[in-house]
Amino acid sequence: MLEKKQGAKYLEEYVSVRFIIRQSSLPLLICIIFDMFAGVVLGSMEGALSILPGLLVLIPPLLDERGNIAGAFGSRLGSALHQGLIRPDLRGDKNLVHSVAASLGEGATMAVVIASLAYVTMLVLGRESIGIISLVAISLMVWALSAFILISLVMVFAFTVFKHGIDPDNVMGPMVTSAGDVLTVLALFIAVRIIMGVV
Amino acid sequence: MALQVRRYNAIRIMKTALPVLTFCAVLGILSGLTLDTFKNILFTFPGLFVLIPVTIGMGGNLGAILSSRITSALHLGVVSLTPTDHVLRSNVLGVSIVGVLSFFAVGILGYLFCVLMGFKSVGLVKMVLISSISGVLLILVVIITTILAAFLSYKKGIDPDDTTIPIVTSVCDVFGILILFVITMAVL
Repeated sequence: MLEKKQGAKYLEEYVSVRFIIRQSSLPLLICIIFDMFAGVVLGSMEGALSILPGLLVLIPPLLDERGNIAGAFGSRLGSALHQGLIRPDLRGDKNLVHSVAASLGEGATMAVVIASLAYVTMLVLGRESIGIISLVAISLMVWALSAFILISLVMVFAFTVFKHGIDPDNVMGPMVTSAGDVLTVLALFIAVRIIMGVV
Repeated sequence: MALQVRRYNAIRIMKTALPVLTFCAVLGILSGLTLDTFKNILFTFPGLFVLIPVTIGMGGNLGAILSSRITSALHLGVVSLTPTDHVLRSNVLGVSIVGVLSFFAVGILGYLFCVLMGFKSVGLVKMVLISSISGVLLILVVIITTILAAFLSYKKGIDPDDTTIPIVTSVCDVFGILILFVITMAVL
């Protein structure tokens, strides 16, 4: 009887428009602020983007990829913590090491794939682009400058919320993609500075 | 029987993930090419850069919220694909309201950031118009894609949890940038 009542109450909340708005506003607001900060960093490198043609093409896939990889890492951590497969401490447990290694490996592989794909597409379409070596170098630098920090952040955040009894599955998603966007754009800012210093 | 993973193996995880990631990269390059096509307008008004990550991000976020809710409702068996369905209507309405308010806020905040950073912008009214109109169109894309992907997967006997979010976020990534620049051209 009690269960039925709770179920009905749950369903009532589930279809309440006000409830949906209230629950999703805060995570969305946090995303907006982080992403606008990422946009400001992009805007401030407008000069560099205009003298390094082809770089613009890298921005959306790099942002997506970082979010996808760290998002998958976060959701793996969430499931593994629930199952007791990974314990919430930083003592190099074998499952944790493999999960981290997979994320870092995916990031490095995709950095090369994205830069090469971008170069080939620009070449086929006959659009102006900097050389493939520079594009791959920038893409790999963005990975090196952002991936390690992001993976560590996601890990510490997942462990902390889990220890406080919060389900990581509910809070990781937006946090991971927003932090990923900001770190990726900051890394791009530094990588472009380095490349312009070299070229 | 729930899926039980006993041990993680880095190579196995990468083998599963890389094909999907490559597919996402191809879609990402498409948005990148759209950016490159509109680069003249971007370099004339660098203030528009402020809207790029947030447009890519918000479409995906709204899509993820709506997808998770509808797929859970499908599993619970409390939703059906009819225009009068109560659960479907309130979820679509809730996400639309949050979305429209968010994109309106993005326009105002975007303009404030431009002033603060000294970027050449298109002005407050045009910034809000661009953000709101492209927001409304993007929300429509989010709703249609989510409903189609969720119900089609469910009908085919595939778990909609596994398919809906990746489909919706990828579609939004491509359409987000495209819609943003088509509307920018129309407003300017």
